[in-house]
Amino acid sequence: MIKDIQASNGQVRVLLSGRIYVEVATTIREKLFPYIDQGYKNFLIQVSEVDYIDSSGLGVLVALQKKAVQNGGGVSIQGLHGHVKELFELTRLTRVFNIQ
Amino acid sequence: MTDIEVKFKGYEGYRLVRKWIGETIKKFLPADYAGIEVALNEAINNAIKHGNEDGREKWVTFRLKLVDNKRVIIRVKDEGNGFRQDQGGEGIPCLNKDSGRGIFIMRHFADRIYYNKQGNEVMLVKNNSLDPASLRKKLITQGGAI
Repeated sequence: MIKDIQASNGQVRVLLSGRIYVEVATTIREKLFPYIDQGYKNFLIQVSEVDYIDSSGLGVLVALQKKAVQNGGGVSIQGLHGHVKELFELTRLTRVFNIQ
Repeated sequence: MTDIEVKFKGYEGYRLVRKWIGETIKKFLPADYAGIEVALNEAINNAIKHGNEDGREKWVTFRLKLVDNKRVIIRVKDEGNGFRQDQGGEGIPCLNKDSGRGIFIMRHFADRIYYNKQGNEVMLVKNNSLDPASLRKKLITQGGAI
């Protein structure tokens, strides 16, 4: 789930937690993409409390990254661990995002 | 041998049984459940979204078989016309695509993956790494011995 969203100084900080299934990926798209339209271009996604993500979750983060990059910004991922980290590495998405 | 079958419709139906499926996999494969849970979730998502074209009235059949505590066989079947196996999943998915990672992930975490002739059912096989025969085979493959 999306636990918290904080937007300031051009950056959106997002705290995700729990298991990121299809319905959560849909919510992420609905909640975060409007920030792009509002002019925000940098996103910091905190995943230290996430213990599961599927390809739909990975896909929405990739989509967010593409839009952010188009606007001159990007998406940073913070707190990768365990199986979530394994999935990012398996799919080579550690090369797409700024991993902190 | 344990053989379980569950049928559900759409994502809403899957959400009702998802937790139970995960807990059952964990019970059968205490050391290997995490990866195969991801794989079966991808298979089910594909069945709902692509096989059944998001049809809320179409069934997905999930079948789980534990064979002699040695392996788990998972079958996911949709009501669609089928999927051509040459349509993807080989090699690492394109990095800037929003989708297309599901089959790649399934192939990584399952020990074996099969499709039926029509292409609307996938079978995932996962060996129990705690089974002595599986462990022995793994050690031999890695150049060790018991």
